[in-house]
Amino acid sequence: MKKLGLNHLAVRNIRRKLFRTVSIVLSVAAVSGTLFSATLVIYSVRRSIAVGAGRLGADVLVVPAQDESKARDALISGQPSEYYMPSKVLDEVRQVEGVEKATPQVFIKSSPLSCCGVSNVLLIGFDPSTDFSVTPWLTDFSGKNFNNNDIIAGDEVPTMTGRTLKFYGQEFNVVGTLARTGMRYLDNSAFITLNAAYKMAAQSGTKALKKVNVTPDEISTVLVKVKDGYTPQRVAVKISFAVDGVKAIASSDVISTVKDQLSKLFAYLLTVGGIVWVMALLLIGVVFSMIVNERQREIGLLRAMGATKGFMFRLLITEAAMLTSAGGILGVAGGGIVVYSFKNLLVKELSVPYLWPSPGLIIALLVGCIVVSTITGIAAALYPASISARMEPYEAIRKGE
Amino acid sequence: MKKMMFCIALAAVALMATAMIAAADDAPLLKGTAYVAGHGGHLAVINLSTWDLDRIVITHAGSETEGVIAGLHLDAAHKKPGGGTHGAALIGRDLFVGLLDGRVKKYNLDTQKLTDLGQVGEKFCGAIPGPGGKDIYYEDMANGNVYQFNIKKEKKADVIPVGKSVCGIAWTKDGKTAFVSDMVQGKIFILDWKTKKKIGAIKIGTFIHQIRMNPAHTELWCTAPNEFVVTAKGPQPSSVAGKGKSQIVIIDVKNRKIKDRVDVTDDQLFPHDLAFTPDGKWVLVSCRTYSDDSILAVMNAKTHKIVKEVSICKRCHQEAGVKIKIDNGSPLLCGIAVDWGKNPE
Repeated sequence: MKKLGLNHLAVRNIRRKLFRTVSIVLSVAAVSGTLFSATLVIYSVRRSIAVGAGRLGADVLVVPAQDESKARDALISGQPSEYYMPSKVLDEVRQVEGVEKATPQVFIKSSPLSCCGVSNVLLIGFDPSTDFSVTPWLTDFSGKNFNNNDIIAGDEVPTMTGRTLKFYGQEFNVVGTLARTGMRYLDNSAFITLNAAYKMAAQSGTKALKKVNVTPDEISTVLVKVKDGYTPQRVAVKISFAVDGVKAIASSDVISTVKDQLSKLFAYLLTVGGIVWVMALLLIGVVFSMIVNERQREIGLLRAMGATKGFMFRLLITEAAMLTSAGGILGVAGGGIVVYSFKNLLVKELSVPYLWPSPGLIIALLVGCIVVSTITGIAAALYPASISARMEPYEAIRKGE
Repeated sequence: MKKMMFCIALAAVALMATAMIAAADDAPLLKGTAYVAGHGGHLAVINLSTWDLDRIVITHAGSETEGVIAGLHLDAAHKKPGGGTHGAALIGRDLFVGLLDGRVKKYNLDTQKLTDLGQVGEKFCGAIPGPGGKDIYYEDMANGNVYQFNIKKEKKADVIPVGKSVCGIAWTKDGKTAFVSDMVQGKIFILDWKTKKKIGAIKIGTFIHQIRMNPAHTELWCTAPNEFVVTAKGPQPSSVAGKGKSQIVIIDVKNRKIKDRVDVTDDQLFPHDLAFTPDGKWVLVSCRTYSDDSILAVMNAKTHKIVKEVSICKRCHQEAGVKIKIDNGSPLLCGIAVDWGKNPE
């Protein structure tokens, strides 16, 4: 005679009422899907900000006062923008209390008309003699000296090391590509020396279809590193005050803007997730109470045939765990597909950078969400399971008839 | 005869002494105009000779608990700060008013022109002219920073992180040391003004507001109305505002120790700001009552007796039929600025 195992019985019970099974699985899937996708998005944006801010390397960015919003947008959403201010700003910034290092950069948007170059890339000219933002990455390229014909390309620029890139009629050797940061400001940019940028601009009138209107007495931004004992916010205020016509932005303030946007989204998703979770918990609890009520005769017979109280308890808990873990798996799969499919739309609508978390973290999130779903099911079924375990065989059979 | 003459002289001296003592506790004859900022978004204007009342509208009303205080949301229904004025610094004929939403507005008393000077901080308490006369220092209740605002350029020149929820600032005579009051920590921080670094703190232990240096720079007066009790866990509201002791705490500047606590609880006054007369003999104290009025009290700086109390909200509100809808129906005032020697025209 074949022995009736716990799992075998649980599976058969689940199969008996297909509609009920599907309802429970879907409600749990909604909870785990929301939890998984919300957490995944938050982690991705946070990672992108952390990596991007680390790459930027500056505590404060000084930009023309009238172009502050353009600069912020460029940092967050990576829209290539051009803005210029007099290069004497650099010396004035260096005089401000609390400034340890200051280095200039000039921005040139690559021509959309270019026949043999890459369009809509932000070319960033930097000064290798004072730079503390780009040169630390050069160690990635075997310590090679960076010269005026060299270029480092961001992750989204379609090229690779060893190739050449042509901008405004000027050819550059790609000496390295940057690891992805998720911030388009860095990923969609290419870095050349300040001298190369000015030379390219000067020659663009004869070598390219479009002339670049930037002269050596213009810069786009000054990146600042602050002295110990000073906060970036304080130095930013001091620079904005001391230097006319500029606005100094603490990079941490840009990050906190993104964090504020995120926290609102996260709070909204958590609220929705919380409501769905409570509903799922109640639903599972009610459904399993009904199951116990419905199966009184069956429970009585099983008990009469020798099933222990513990077996009856474990049977219902196993059913709940099976249903909710299936819901959990379905939810994380669905959530993952939704986030992956709508990632670009999300980035565009929220104007946030995005970089997928490490595989380890994604696996931990997956497991975490499935475990939470399973625990939800077990918690909801605890009370009905204890009732079913306490039923006396005769009483259960009689009531169940 | 000699005996009689002696008795008459003695009586005359006694009479004169009595008259002097009585006169000392009489309301003084002052000349000037006081401007007291309030949550209603306007400044109460008080003629110090006649005690007549007027007002200057700066912005719309806003409660102190709206938005953030010391990083905390006390009023969950109002996540953003409203309007409301909280302090004004008088520079020449311009009043530089700090608002509860962190903006600064300039009001010219001659032209009556109001100019918005933009967002400077998050939620201002005090607005105090600096020692050099070139800057105004705004103390922020939301983030604990002191903002240096340059009068000439009309923009912020520095931001000094000091505490959690700062309200007032004062300097020693040589300008080398500054004192900054932190409401929620119940402390007055001492700063080396050159480096802007904290070098000490005076613990008051109650919920404090503004601080003012007397003209001789010997005493630092601090308003401590104690609407909240300062505990290790942070400020805990008193069951009813003002249930605790309402005080003006006097600090000896030389020793940096508390030398007196003037209790005004029985007067039902909850002092928020002070202004010394130029001779240092009298102090104007702007006080809340948490009832239907706020009061300007005149205190003798030596005897610490209150010699006069003037209504600076109810008189106008009653006449105009104004009903207060914020702050539990109580008109709340705070910072005071005085134009000594000039009465309003």
